[in-house]
Amino acid sequence: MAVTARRPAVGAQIAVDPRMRKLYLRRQAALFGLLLPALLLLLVLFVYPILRLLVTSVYDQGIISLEHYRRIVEVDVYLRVMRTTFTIALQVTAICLVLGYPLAYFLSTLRARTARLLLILVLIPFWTSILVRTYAWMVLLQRQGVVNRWLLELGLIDEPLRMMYNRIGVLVGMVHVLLPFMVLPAFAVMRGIDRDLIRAAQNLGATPLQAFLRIFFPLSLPGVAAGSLLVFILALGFFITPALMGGRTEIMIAQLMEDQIRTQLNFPFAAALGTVLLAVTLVIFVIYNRLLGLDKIFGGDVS
Amino acid sequence: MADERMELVLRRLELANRIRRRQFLRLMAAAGLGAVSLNALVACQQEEETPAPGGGAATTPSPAAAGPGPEFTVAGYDDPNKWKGKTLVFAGFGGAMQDAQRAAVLEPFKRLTGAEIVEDSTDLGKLRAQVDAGNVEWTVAQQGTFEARLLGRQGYLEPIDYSIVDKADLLENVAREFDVAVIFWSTILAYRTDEFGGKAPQGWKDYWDVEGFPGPRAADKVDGPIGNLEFALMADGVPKSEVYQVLRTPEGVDRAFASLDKIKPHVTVWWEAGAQPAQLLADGEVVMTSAWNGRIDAIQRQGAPVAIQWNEGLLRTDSFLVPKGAKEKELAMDFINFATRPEVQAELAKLIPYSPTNGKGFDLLSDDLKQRLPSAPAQKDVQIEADNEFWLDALEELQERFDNWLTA
Repeated sequence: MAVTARRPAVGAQIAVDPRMRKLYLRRQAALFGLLLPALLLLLVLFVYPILRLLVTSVYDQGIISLEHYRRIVEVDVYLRVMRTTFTIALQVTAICLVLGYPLAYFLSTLRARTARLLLILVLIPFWTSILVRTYAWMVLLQRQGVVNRWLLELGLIDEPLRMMYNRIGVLVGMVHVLLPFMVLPAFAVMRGIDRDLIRAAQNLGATPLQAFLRIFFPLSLPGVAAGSLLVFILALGFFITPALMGGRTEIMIAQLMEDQIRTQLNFPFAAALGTVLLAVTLVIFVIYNRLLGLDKIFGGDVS
Repeated sequence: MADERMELVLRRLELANRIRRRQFLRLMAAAGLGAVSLNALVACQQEEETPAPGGGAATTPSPAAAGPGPEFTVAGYDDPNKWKGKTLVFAGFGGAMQDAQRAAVLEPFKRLTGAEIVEDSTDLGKLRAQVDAGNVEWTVAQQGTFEARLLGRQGYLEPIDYSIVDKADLLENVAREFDVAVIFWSTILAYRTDEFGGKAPQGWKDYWDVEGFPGPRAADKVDGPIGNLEFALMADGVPKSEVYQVLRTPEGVDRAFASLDKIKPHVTVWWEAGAQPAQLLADGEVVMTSAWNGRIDAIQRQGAPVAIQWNEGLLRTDSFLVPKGAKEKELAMDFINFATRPEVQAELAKLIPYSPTNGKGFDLLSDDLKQRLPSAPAQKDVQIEADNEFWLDALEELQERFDNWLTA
């Protein structure tokens, strides 16, 4: 708010003094020049491919048509898989939140050096290939895997538990991969929260729980929101984990797209699937923005 | 995201290869996870890298597959300067397959013709991009025959020049307008030999018979309807010779899906990568599965209690092709001719159990080895050959129906 309020004032000042105005414009041009490489890069590597994707998706054998979109809407499987994709992404986000928030909170209460050390532990799996982690989970979770063998030997279960090739397997694998994306932004924001505020609240008679719920929690929200958004969006495009750890009902949309490209050579239809996924994601993004405010998430307006 | 993309690329290679373990294990080792008990996978890897001279049960892995090939000669290739100064860019599936090809095909071609050889990894998207951009780097690429035919149909390939490629001894359904099949492989029924009290499943009827052959099963998801529908019909009593005839009718397709309905509750794993069924069987996760023959062969020789039922298997091929606009077309055709000579194909089969498309190739192989090869007469006669003609027309619709059925 403060920033937007200041801007007209500067503008007014510039308008009065032509010399100032010239300087100001020159500086703006220089700044824009610095921005240019990044803009070009985005244009060439991001905007252009997305436009191509859109164009590809409305071509059917050389003529413009919405045939591919009709197919997505009319045949059950595509919307069903889309639904599965969003459900899994939501579930993963929720689990990451439940696991990641206390972890980030704990880390933020430690001395900087200790916190850094522990953060490395959070990051190590992050540096390991997804494929490797997925196969490692398979070794642990399968019917005759390590976990089931232990539980059987300890007499805790009589039958091996089914933890793989179903939703559980997919969720475990994906949460493991995505948890750092929740912990890191949450930790960064929590670290920046002034602990004196909590002490002040307690001084003024708040219980520790009240202080946490009414002071710390709201202040930590931007980090949590950023983490959730990252996890959710990354989860939407997941591919390997559901393919290797899921059952027949855990097929996600990326798998269908891959199949269209790999075996059917149907690039336009894959493009249409991609566009629908993108559109739905954007809608969710907008709703999310309305509810939580992305400017907060990306640190534009902290004051 | 970059990481994710790399994984995607890796996995696509993995899928396409059917035999690519090496990279994955290297990653495992790099991650320090080598100690995790991945017995089956590791063994599988060692075996796949182990050539099987004469098909004996090799117990110690040897690195020969990656080493220089034997100094054999090939009739018609006696001028070591024939292609001197020319470069052939070969795009294969990588992994153990390309290692074997390097020893049995690429290096000998270089030695016998003087051509320089550059290797790359094949990829449908890359091939299309090269042709679309009019800048074709590859001279010869490998693809599944189905994909090759799809590319041919869409105008992405050069026609094969049969004045250079000698097709006299090539088997039926091997030499086509835009591609030449270079190996046979099979989707077969694989099972654990210690699960059914000495009984062996004789075909898909037994795979469907959950009372006679109890236990969890795995099935192929990566090929979608291809294979699954054929197997479902045979399980339902359709004779091998009539499978595609039945499948070409709407009632036949309904019948196949109705048959699949019956086995659906008993399939606990739908596999996505070729290594999975071998691992699932070796670990005892399932008692029966459809699988690619090379993978099962590998764990079999490592000593896993598994066996292949060739009866009612689905015989398929991989092809060599030349992208449209490739430079050095003549060199490409000569290389394809070379790769389909009996001497070369026999060498390849000794290194990896995918078998010759040149009928004469079998004359150069031991009986032991022949028993492990999908297109050797004893195995070929009891299988059905995938009808690419049928699938080219039907895949789009049936894949959709299959996905719908699977996720419902």
